[in-house]
Amino acid sequence: MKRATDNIVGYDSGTPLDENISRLLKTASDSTQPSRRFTESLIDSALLELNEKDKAYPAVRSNWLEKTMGWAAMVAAACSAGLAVAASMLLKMNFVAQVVIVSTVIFNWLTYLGEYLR
Amino acid sequence: MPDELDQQDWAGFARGDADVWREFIERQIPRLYGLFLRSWPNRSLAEELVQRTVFDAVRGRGSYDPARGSPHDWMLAIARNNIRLEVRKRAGRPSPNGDVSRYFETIDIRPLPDEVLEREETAGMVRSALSQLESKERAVLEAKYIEGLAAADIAQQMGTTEKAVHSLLYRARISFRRELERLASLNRKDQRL
Repeated sequence: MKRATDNIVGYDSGTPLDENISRLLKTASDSTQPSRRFTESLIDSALLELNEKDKAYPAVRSNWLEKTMGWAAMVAAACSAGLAVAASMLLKMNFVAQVVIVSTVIFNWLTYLGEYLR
Repeated sequence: MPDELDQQDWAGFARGDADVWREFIERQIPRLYGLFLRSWPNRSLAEELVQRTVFDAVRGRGSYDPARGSPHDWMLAIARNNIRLEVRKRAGRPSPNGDVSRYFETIDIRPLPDEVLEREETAGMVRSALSQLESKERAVLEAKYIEGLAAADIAQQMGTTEKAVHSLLYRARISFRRELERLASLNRKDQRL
């Protein structure tokens, strides 16, 4: 078994021994309040996360017309894909041709939608 | 300090106003900590669950609707959900039975199970081990691990240098570990008799 001294390094070493000592000492403490340091550090990290989240994911507020067009485009793209697959099967095309047709239909729909909403 | 934010701040909370959130989190942390501590007498776990709940709230703030209730009730629901998840996690874990002191043999290798930390005899052994240390060693361990102070702050508090704090902490950890090992071995001998 490793000796205790093998696992003791720096101040904030984060070794299993360090973690366990921290947990054991807290267990023996009578305090029913979190430490001031824990509270401050958690508030700072939470606010940082709050600000980063706002920057990373700016709220997108779309109006009803954009929402409706978006849903319509999705339905249309799905129907077109189904139609293209059915048509290509009926015409006994090979797999590569099916993929090309479906991709072209979806791409055209998305391009059209993008132009419309611009 | 009242539990609840003023109703006029609820909209600011939903928008993610940093000042409102700071005030809210500051009020909630001690309450959440108490709630988790009542479920499990384990301060490390309580800290972990408070942290998880606060971050769940920050990340999921888009789901808060002021029309459905106060931010306090909303966060309490998140906390209760985290308690449920913890209960479920524990249900699948074998609980340590018999003598817990054998777990102290491996504290430098693997994390102690939460269930061991929550046993009354563990707290008793830790208190005994601490009482055997020199007062300076005990003080440095408590300052670092319970109060969470940085080495510079401890140095200032003790009127010494940062380097001396590092060295004292090193010795204190070794002494604590040895004392715990000694108590564990005595415990095992007592149980064999």
